Amino acid sequence: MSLGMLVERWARERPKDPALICEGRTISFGDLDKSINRVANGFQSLGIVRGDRVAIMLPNIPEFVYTFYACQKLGAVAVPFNTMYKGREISHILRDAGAKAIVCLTNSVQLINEVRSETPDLEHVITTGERTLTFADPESTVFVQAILGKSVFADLDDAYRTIGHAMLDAMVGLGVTNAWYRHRGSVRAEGHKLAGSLISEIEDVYIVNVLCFRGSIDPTDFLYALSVPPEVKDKAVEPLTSIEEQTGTKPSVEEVRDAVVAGLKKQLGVELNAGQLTREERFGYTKQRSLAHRRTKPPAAPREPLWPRIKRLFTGKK
Amino acid sequence: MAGSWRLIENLAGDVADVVAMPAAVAEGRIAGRYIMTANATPETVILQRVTQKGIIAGSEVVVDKEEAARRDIDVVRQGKAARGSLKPAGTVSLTELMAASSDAFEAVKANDAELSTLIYTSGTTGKPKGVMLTHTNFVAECEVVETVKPTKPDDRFASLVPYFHVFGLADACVLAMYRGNTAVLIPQYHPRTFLKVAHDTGVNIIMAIPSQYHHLILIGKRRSREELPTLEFCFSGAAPLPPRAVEAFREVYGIMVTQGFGMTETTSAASVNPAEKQKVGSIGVPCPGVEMKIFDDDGVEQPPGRHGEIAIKGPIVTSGYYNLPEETALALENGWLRTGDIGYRDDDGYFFITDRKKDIIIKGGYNISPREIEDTLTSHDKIKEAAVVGFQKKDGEDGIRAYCVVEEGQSVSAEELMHFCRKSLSSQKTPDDIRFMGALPRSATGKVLRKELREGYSDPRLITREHE
Repeated sequence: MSLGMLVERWARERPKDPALICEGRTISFGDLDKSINRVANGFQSLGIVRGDRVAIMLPNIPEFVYTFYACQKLGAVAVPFNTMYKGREISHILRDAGAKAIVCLTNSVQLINEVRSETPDLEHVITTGERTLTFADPESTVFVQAILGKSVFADLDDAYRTIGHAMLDAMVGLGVTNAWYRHRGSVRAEGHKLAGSLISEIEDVYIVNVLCFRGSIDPTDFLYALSVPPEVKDKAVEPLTSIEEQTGTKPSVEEVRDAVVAGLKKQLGVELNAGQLTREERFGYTKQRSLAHRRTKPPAAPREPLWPRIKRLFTGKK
Repeated sequence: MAGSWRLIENLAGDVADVVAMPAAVAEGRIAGRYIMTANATPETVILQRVTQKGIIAGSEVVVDKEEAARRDIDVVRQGKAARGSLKPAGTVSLTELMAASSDAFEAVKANDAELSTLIYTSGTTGKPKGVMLTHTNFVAECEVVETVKPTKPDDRFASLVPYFHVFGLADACVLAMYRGNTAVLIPQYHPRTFLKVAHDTGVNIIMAIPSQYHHLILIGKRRSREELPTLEFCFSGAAPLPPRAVEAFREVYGIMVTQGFGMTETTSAASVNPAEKQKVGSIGVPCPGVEMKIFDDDGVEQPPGRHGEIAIKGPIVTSGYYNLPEETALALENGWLRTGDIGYRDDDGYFFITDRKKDIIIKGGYNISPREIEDTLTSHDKIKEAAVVGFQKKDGEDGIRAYCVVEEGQSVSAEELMHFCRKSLSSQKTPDDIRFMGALPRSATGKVLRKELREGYSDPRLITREHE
């Protein structure tokens, strides 16, 4: 019996019965079979054929089931692996299996990008899920973002290379002399990540997001808020380092800014002039801010006791 | 490309700014093109720093908001991906791929020996190897579990184990579809989340690993046992569940956990310690259709009571390691899979594991079982967990190093522990070095990764510089 036929049978016999339940959503055998078929046809349109290996780096979500059974229907070989794997662990599996495609969460793209030069068989990175996660810390993280026309660069490789080298120049400028850059990847020192970049695209625009670590970051607090059990804590976060840990001194945000500006100037030959959001952009910004907050309930702000507030209203004093 | 770009600085912002500012600029830029504003958006660089800790999470990430608030962490959500929306450059969106494809497809008819899946073993030794599993292997495993727990059409399976692990994949992802049952998916496991989901969906079968049973026991003790009224069958695997945990779970939930023993190479469970005739400390009896034997180093089968390596044969056994004919030949002889586990069989046919071949420490010519030393250390009432590995002492001699996790709120010195060991172990088995840790490194399924504790171990998560 082929595993690809399992769901087909129930879709035929009991199409309305529940096959999957995930986060309040129920998917019937009929719908599951259709989704699997869509993925199988999608794989085929990407040139994936019987016998090809398809890596799956997903948690237990419906897309895991779609992808796994799409492979079975197609006769492709599924290569599922641990979503907590990083660096060499991922590159070893992708290379050893000769995976032609990987299906992963959007947040894993940076990790895959970074090992892509070692995985020549990998043709497609297929992403799913709304599980991206970024930690921001006043003492550590600095975000360098850029909204650029695609025509600034020759192609995506050029965009990654240029931004990556600008960041590398910035890090070296800040005294991290052992920093190095891997194509489409992060600026690293001693194997640990010092700054990571991800380029997203929409229409003819690239949105560049670079996260760099000025001072050391302790993820403990964040992981508690995500209910990550302590025994997997070390595995949940990529090995990180910071300018402070590499050089012994933590640069100010202004120093980081100057180094980044110098790096961009060197790599792109552009001047950066201080500016502000335009009036239209401010409208968009206000909307985007409220969207970002509305998607979750904001934590209840500790409220000031009533009396001092009233007193202040009348006296104007603190 | 020369010219001048705009630099926007926001050095006292928050995580909402980190999301909103570039989105606003990109939005304005794209909209501007359509309404043909005179001033096109210039190329823009934004530099941001936050003044409060924050998490930017996708809409499907479960964030404990109370915990975040208690730790002064601001939480914002990233926008949802939709057709034509922002995505990492150079990737394909699964949603878009599915939307553009037909929903009709007929499954290929796989041959008996055709590969279904490659699963890389966590690799207690060396680099992970790809275990080849065929369609036939998976179907055989389903038949095996069927004999242990026959199907009811309305069974609801929850796997607390990830589907990327052979236990979750074979005994939940495939099994549920083989039987036509409902699979309940839990993307981000947390005992509280699981209890709620199990309660809401009427889960009656769970597949979980020992550490998860421990969580459920802890949480169940504090709440009423009405938590899981529909629960009928619990299957544990990947690592042994200690007898006192089996008993504690029964006390709280009224169910004896059925323990399976298996490997990636056996498509998950090969033997089962049945709930009704459970033998404490045993890995159980071989499942129907599976053979298990004990062999000595010369490949001679051993009678009950005699130690040797456990070997397994049957339709669930892998055809080998991907592209590794030599390793395959070493592990598989005439269809017998050498498990690397040392143990014996009793007169009733129950198997017991006493050690793992590859973890044996050789010191002064003696084979020493790390497990024996670990058991001694954990018998000390202040030691919660221990892992023992071999290392090379400065003088080049072989030594034994123990990593200990102390019970919460307790403290103990290395000297005291060495003294404690000396009382019950011979001097060559007493650790030469004792180190303390907050937690032992474990694999996704709770196995202690002794490999990571060995000297000269290099973290495979690191990405190192290539030779240029």
